[in-house]
Amino acid sequence: MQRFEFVARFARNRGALVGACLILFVALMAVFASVFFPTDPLRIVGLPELWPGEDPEFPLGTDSLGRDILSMIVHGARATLLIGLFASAVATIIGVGVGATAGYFGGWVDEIAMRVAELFQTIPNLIFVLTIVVILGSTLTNIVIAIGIVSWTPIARMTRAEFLSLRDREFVQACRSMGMSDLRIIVSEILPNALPPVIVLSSLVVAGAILFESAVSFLGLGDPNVASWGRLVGDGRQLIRSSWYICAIPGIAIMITVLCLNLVGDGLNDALNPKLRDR
Amino acid sequence: MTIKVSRRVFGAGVLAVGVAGTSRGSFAQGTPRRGGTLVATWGGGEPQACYVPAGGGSSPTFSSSKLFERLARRRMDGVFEGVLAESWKPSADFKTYTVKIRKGVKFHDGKDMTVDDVVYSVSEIWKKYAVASALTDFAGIESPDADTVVFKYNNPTPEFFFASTLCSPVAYIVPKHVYAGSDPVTNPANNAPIATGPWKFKEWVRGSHFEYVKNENYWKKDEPYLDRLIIRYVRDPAGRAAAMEAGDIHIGVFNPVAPPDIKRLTGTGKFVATPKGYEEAVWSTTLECNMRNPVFAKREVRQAMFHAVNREFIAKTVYYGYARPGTSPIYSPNKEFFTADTFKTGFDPKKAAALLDAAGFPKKADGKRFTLNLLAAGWFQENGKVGAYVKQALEDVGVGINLTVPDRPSSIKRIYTDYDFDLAISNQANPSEPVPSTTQYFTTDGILKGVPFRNASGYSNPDVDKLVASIKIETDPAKRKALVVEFQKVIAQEAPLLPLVELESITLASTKVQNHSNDPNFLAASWGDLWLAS
Repeated sequence: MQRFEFVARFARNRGALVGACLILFVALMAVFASVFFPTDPLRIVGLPELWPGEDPEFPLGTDSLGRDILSMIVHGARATLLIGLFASAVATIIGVGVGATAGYFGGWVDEIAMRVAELFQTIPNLIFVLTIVVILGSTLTNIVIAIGIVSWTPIARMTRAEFLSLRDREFVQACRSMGMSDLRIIVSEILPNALPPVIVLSSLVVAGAILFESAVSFLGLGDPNVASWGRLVGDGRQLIRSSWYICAIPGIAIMITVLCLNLVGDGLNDALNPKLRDR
Repeated sequence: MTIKVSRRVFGAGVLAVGVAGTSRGSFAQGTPRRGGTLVATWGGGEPQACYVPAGGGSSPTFSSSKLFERLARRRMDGVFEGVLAESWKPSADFKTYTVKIRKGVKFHDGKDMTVDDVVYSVSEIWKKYAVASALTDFAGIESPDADTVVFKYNNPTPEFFFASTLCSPVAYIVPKHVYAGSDPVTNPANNAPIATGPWKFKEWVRGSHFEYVKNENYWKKDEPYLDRLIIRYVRDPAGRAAAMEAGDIHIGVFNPVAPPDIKRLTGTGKFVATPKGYEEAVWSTTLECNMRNPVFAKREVRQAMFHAVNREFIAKTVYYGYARPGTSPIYSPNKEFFTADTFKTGFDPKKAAALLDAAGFPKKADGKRFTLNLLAAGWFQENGKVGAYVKQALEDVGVGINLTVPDRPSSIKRIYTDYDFDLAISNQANPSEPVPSTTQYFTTDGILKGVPFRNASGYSNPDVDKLVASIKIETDPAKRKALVVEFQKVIAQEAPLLPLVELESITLASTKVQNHSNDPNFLAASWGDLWLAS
């Protein structure tokens, strides 16, 4: 019954519903990419710079080397979503870990954790990501780690704030007086109550991560062995005056996906904090 | 043979050649108009300093060559012509060269240029920084009188080699009174040079442009025609195209805009594009095998790498036809030394597969023979595309490829310092004289860890070393050519490093700009003779 209510509240936000459907579509594209396009999407298969519709074999045209853009978009959905999800997971794990510790224990632990977070916040994110990628090398894993490292601070602050407001509540004090260990209180008592806003934030980090990956690839520092949307935009940049579709098609894909993720975030917010909405 | 160099009197002489229709004058018509400001750019970034004594790449060469002058230059028709030298003559044993220095030349600060400046420049700047690798046999320089210097060598030195050294892009005559007693590399004058050329340094607005003004006391009468020369830096090719279209920039050398924009801009009738002016600096995109990886021990494996790749495709698709397949370590525009008659590693994937099978690398269960790290140097965007194609081509013959495209500093470090690659896609630019710029990619003494654009493959072959040593000292032009041909044949077959394509660099200029692209290394020419039609 509770689950149904959640879905109903989520669906009340029409934007979120549309967003979720489109994200589902992108996810299906990612899952079944190899079924629709079994060959390597980075293979040169036709004449270079065929416009969309010019050759029915390549409905979205080909890029400057003659690679099928449709195939790269479909396979790129996989890389792009994977990067988004994993980077968000990395950021959430670091952020929740740091935020929970800081919020629960307070005092000097909090001081140190928050100063470290501020240190990370003062470095421009994109430059930080580029630096890490340049030093570690541009592979998919390193890009995920780099995005995770720059994206954890808002999650940590949010988690800390939730913990600060929850740690002295009666139920927590009751747990303490029962002699529960700190770890158990954090993980099984406070965290479930602190999680809803964090989940909303994590869904937004997925969108941010996709944009970061696109920027990194656009600047030519993406993993050249993987088809991702940002890379396609970067490759097409040189040809923007003559064959603008090479930039535009993946650009639209990125835009729609990021917009949908934000809509889904809004929907999650409504669903998880019903009071906030009805107020 | 003595190369007589007459003082070139401007006006009638040059224009007559132009009208006669040789390459020199194809972008000149009518009588030069005086005055005006020319704004130029190039297909790269801002230099680290206006003048870098060690060269420092094409960017400082471009900015400094308008201010400084060399002793000699090579003309479009291949004849060597004195600039600050009037003539040079070898001794009978080719171990000394007597050079007459031009009189009446003044530095921009009003002081006379003398033989002391020449002696200082050669012994302190050339030998130590600018052309050190061409002066390994150099024994010293003397000045017997006020207008003569004598170059001494330990071994016989071919005339073509000597003249080419005088013409090297940064072999400048610098003012001794500014540089003596200082560290030339860090001398503040490098960012506001005092020199002898047609242009005087006025200012450098970092991140934007250089401004040069007319040298009123220039030794060549009438030059420069223009009042001001601005070198502007625009980071993005699309930005350069827009600036040229708007009329803000008149001329761009060395591929200022993306190939599709060349067609678009020349189509308006307001611009001309030309591949002329790069004959003494022919660029190529190369593929090299790291000999430290034991799979490359057999030359058949190296040859197979080249057989697998369709160079025509790279030239046509990646470079939009502004390139041609390379076959030899010496490039086809080189009239003195190039030979087409070398071992051919043309596109033949079946042969590549057969060579790899025969070399003991059959396909394993996963369809791969072995896996290599392919590094495409990220300083040109095209290299990444070539890398993506080469990856596919090699995977088609069963060679697994892991492609990386690092940025410029990481690429230089990984190729030339760490040797951290199995196959590398890089670029080089070579003048006609093969020693040392071409040969140092193949000789044992070219293996210099940490020095960029040398022998990074680690290829070491006593026969090649011996051959290059004899090319260095053979003074008979015909015999020397035969040795260079032999060198090309050996390298084309050994295949440690070969050009995939020779690049056709493009200059894009407004039709108003006259007298451009009239030097075989136009980027490094002085540009005193340029003028703007109204």
